[in-house]
Amino acid sequence: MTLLFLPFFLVPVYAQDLGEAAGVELEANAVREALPEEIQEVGGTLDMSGRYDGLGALERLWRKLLENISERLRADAWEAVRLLVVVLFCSVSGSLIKEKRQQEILELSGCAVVSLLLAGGVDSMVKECFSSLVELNDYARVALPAVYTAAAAGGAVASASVRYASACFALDLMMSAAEKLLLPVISALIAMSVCAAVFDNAMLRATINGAKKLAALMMSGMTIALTAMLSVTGLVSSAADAAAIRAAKTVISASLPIVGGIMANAASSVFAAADLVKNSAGAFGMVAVCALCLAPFAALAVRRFFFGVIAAAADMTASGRIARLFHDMSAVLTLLLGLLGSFALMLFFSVAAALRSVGTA
Amino acid sequence: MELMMRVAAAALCALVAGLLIRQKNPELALTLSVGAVAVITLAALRMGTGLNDLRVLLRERFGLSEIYMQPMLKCLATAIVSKLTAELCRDHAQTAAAAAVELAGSLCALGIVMPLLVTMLKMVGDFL
Repeated sequence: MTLLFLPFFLVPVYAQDLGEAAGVELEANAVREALPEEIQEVGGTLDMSGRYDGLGALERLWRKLLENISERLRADAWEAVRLLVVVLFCSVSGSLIKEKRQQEILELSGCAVVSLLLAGGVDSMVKECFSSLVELNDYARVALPAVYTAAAAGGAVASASVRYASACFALDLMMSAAEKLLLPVISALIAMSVCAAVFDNAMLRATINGAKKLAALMMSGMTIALTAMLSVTGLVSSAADAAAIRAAKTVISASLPIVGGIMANAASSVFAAADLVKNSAGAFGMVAVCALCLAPFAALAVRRFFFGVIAAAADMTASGRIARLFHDMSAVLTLLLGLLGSFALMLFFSVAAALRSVGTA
Repeated sequence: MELMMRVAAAALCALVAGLLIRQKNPELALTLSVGAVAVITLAALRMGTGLNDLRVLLRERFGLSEIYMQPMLKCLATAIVSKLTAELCRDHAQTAAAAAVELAGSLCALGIVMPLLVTMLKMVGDFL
């Protein structure tokens, strides 16, 4: 009797929409929802069935970059021309005076004017850079758990948790180093550059060069060390994960006659769905990191370019002081670019580390 | 070019007249020098409108405040006046007076620039 009634209780099970279901279950949409609307548009639709349009996203990213650059070029060109005219004015005025002491005072006033016009803008760039770092860090707090949860659901339980822990450690370390060490050093560098332009002093100049080298060394050192750490951690545990999954499949297949193989295959389908979610969310996350960095990168790069141009012009016309000031400010912007780049790279590698977690399907 | 020819002619006339007068009447020679310097400077200032145009351009097109430009222009004017005065003094063997004028010019220029420097130092303080 029981056997006769059993067919009425059969429930159909399909594996075709498993990816979407796994995406909802693993809350992978958080990778997209944590972003501002503008960045969401660049990233595109987060498709959990493994059909994420990566090429289209890259194309939108490229278009957005060009748009940002042209926007910043238009905005900063005016400011650059203004600075250039001030430099020209200083140069013309300086050439009218032959007496050295008076010429020096005029140069001093020119330097003070240029510093006042310049340093405020650079300071706002420092603040903008910091807010971009905070934005990236906030995004990392939402995106990384989603991607690593999907990786863990895909079978990389131990390696995903180890990699997630090391990614969080790397990002926290980088963020606190930027906030407590690098940005104060960069602010001090701006202050010292302005002082050195007005009151030229060999000791001050040596300190500036030292601070520049120190900041660059700290950034590159930290990036290399933390990237190496992210690459190495999880290697052993991912091998252990793969071995554990293989053993579990073998045990299920061997211990349950007839249905054991079917159950092992079903488990593989579930893992494959989680892998799809991980890969889609990971690819989207990588594009999102790039998109988040676009605007500050374009702003810094365009201003850096203009400062370079003005420095070259100042080298030809005005006194060495103003040219040196522009060179120093260019170096400050380069350091800011480096800082933002290192943080973005770290976040990029953190997402990539989740994608490298062993798929067991 | 025309202005330069006129300036050169005026300067040569003043030089020749000065050489003729100096032996007999040094006071008159001094007055002649001062007059020549004043005339030549005034003539040259007419050509300095380019600098003023640049200042106007900076103010009107680029929104650069007069607070920034005025000290530089005042410095320039101070330097020109002190240089001319010092050279006049030197011409008439008043080297000490020339040095004093130059020193006064430098101090005046420094006084003019000082508010800018103070603002800049305050800004540097804000950075640190």
